[in-house]
Amino acid sequence: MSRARRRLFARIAILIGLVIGGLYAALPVLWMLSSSFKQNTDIFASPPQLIPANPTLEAYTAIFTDPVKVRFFLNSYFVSLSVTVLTLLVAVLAAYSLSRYEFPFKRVLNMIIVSVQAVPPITLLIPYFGLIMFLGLYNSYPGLILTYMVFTLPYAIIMMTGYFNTLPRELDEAVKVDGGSSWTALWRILVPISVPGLVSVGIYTFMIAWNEYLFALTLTKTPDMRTVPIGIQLLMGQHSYEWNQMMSMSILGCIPILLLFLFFQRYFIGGMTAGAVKN
Amino acid sequence: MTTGGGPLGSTEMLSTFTYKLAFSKYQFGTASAAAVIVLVISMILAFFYVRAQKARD
Repeated sequence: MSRARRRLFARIAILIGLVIGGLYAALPVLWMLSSSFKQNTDIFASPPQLIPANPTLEAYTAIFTDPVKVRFFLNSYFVSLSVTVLTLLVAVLAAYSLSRYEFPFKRVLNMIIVSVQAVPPITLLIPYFGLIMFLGLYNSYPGLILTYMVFTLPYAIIMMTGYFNTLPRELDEAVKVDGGSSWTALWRILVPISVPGLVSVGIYTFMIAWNEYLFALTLTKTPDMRTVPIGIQLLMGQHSYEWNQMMSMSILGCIPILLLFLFFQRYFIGGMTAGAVKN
Repeated sequence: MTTGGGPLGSTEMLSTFTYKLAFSKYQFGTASAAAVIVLVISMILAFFYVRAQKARD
């Protein structure tokens, strides 16, 4: 077999492998999408139908006309957006000082920030439950927002510090020569340049906050405070299993992340690699 | 989560076990002990991982 034919053969084999892997990953999601358009009785129909025979929008209308479920989405959006904005603010400030300044205990602080990430969330669950109760933040937005920030901040600070490290110090010096302070150097020069890094960190933060299940379950009690992952689980076993509503709520819950990824894809890939280089 | 702990807890995982102990059976002491065990296990794994990373540099 000539070299060209062997390469063609290898490429076809790789393509087949990728298609199989892609189907393996995508079929559950496609099934979810098709089930959300079925009636509840058709979900477990005996020959399984990928394309529903009687497509219906009843699952989606049931969700949009139920104020409790709409509240789940509003809560999720509000908490995730607040967490993202606050995390980016704090991370930019922290990264600026870690990247541009030397101060006592800097290495210790760095180690602490990194080691917060090494703790598994289930370990933090019970102490945080006690802490939030003690602070009186149970079943409230600030309780959720502050708790999520514990998980999003370490990664955000590390990535932004790495990103700021790639920006030359001559920029800071140019601002100082022109009579600006460190504050202007940060907010008027460094941050506008760092938009790709900010976008990728922001999307990752939003994703973590949006998908958070364990702490949302523990730190909220009433349905008007719960978020989408809990809302999907609450559809199980209250009266009956509403499979089609669960599927459509899952689809609606996937949409923000999907849209973010689609629109900001070039920032995301660039930002991930830019912050990761150590020098 | 798929099996809900399985028949008589045979497919139970440590994380869900901790959660159930704490918030279904209200045994916070035992649940905290289980959480600390999770922490110790992950620290041991992290120790080996960091050592392998340092050996690679």
